[in-house]
Amino acid sequence: MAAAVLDLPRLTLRAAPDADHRLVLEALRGDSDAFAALVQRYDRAVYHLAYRTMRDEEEAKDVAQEAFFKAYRSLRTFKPGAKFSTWIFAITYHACCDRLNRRRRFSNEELPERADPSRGPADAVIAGDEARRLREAILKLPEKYRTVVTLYHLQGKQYDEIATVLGIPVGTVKTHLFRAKEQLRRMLAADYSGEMT
Amino acid sequence: MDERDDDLDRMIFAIPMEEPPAGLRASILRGTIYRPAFALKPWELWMCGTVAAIAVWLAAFIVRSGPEAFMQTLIALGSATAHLLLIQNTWLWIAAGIGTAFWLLILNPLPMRAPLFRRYARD
Repeated sequence: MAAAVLDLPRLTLRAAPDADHRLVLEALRGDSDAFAALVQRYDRAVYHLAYRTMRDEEEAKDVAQEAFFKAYRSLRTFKPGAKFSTWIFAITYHACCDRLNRRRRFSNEELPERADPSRGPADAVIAGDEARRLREAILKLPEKYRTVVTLYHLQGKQYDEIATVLGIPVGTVKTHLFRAKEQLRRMLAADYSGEMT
Repeated sequence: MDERDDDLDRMIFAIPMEEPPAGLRASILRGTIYRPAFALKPWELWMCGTVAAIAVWLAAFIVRSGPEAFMQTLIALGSATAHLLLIQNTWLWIAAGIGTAFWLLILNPLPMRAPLFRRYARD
C-alpha cells in the first residue's frame, strides 16, 4: 500500500521548481510571457486553495486575482532559493485570512459552518462518489484543518513548505493534519453508516 | 504510516482541483502584464503634485490678501533669497550637498533595481 501512496497522481506544479525559478527570472528581466506562464501553471491551484479556504466562488476568484496582482507587484522580493508555489500559496493564504478577518469583523451573524458543497464548481468533474464525499467532508472541517489538508493536497508531504505558507511550526502542521484526517475518517465513516441504515 | 492513512492519502490526492471560473486567467493577465503602463514615473508625479500645491497656495494667497500684499511677500522672499546667496556659507553647503550626491552615485551603496516590467498592450 505504501507503494501506492508513492505512485499517487502528482500535481504537475509540484514537479518543476527549477522551471518556476527560470520563469521568475525571465519575468524579472521584463519577459511578460514568463509571468503569463506562471499564471497558467498556478491559477488553478491558487483558486483551489482560495475556494477551499473561503468556501465561496466569488470571493475565491477575487482572492486568486488579488494574489497574482500582489505577486506581480512584488516579484522582486521573491527569494531565489524559495519555491514559487510556496510563495504564491502564502500570498493567497494571507489574502484569504485578511478577507476572513474582515468578514468576521463586519458580520454580526454567525458565519455559516460550510457552504453548500453541492453547488461547488468542481461538481461537474467529480465523477466518483468517494471523491464527492471526501470533498464534502473537507469542506466541513474547521478552517485551520481545511487549509492544511488543501495544502497537503497541493504540495504533497512537504510539511516544511506547508509550514512556511501558513507561518506555523512543522510540528503544528503535522498535528493539524493528523487531527484533520481523524475528523475526515469519522465523517466518512458516519456517512457510510448513515447510508447503510 | 498505517494502511488507513495510505487509503485516505490516496483519496485526498485523487480529488480533482476546483475548476476556476471562466475568465479568471484572462482577468489576472489583464491586471498584470497587459495592464497599460502608467505614463508618469513616481518622481514626476511628486513633482507635479508639488507644483500644483504651490500654485494652489499662491492662488489662495493672492485671492485672500490682494495683489499688493502678494507682491510685497514676493519681494521680501526674493530679497531674502538674494541675501542668502550672497553669504559664502550658503555656497559651501550647496557644494557639499552636490559633492555628497555625486559620491553617493559613484559609490552606489544601494543595489540597482531591476528594470520594471515592460508592460505593453497586446492584441
